[in-house]
Amino acid sequence: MEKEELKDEIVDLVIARLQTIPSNASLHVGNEERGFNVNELIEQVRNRTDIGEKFIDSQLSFLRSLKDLPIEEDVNFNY
Amino acid sequence: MLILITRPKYEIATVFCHSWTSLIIEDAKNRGIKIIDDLEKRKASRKNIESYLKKQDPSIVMFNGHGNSATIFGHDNEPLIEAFKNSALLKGKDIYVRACDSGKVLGPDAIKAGANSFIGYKELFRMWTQEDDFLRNPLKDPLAKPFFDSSNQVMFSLIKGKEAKDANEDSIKVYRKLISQLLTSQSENFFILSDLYWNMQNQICLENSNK
Repeated sequence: MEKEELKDEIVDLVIARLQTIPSNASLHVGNEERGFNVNELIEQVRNRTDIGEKFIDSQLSFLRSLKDLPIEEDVNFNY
Repeated sequence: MLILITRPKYEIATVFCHSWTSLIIEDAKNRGIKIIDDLEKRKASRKNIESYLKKQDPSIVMFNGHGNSATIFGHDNEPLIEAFKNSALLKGKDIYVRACDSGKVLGPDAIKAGANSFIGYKELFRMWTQEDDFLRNPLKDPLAKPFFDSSNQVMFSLIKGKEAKDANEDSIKVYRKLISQLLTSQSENFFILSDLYWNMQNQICLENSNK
């Protein structure tokens, strides 16, 4: 599969995941003065803006990490 | 131990940081630790922060707000600390910056200028909120809570007298616990996982080897 096709599939996957998020949730990222709602995030991803690309990267980074994340026992921290 | 905190409050992200930092202030007060000043809202100005850093001697300084790789901003985006300009004011102190990117340039510059330690982020700090429902009471926002429980732990541990690397590690443990809980529960908020993980991966701790 060509790299561009793979990227399109990844974008579609990220958008599909975004579409499951409640509409009243907002993501604050960077120095924007308000959060991005789900529809705005989808546009950022679809248009592959800087914010959109970083969002895609973070989704992929997390998915790749799943095989390495241990399930923590209760950590006794107190503050 | 003396603590100095900035808490600008002029738009949504800073409203949330302002509220969640109140838990740190409360913890310090409960432990009898003096907060030199809580530079909140308009008090989070360059004039004030420079004055306090020059004249007082806080051992721990926490900055909330926005940032870029070389700058920490205060109220209304006024630059407070800038790499290669006034970062020497951070000499001898443990610094925690809850803002975007400053770990990239300002952090190393602060260490070079003599800061004991610098904990911050080398990428954009992220958080999910339900701001329409919780803007008036950010402490009740279940989406925001994991982002602040994990990042607040840095200060909770510094206030307990821990070294920066241990405070950072305590924070990382909270991230991992929260991520694990979200992964294994039926929580409908699982979608925040990748951004919580992002913050954890990009939180850095720099220490001065000459302290």
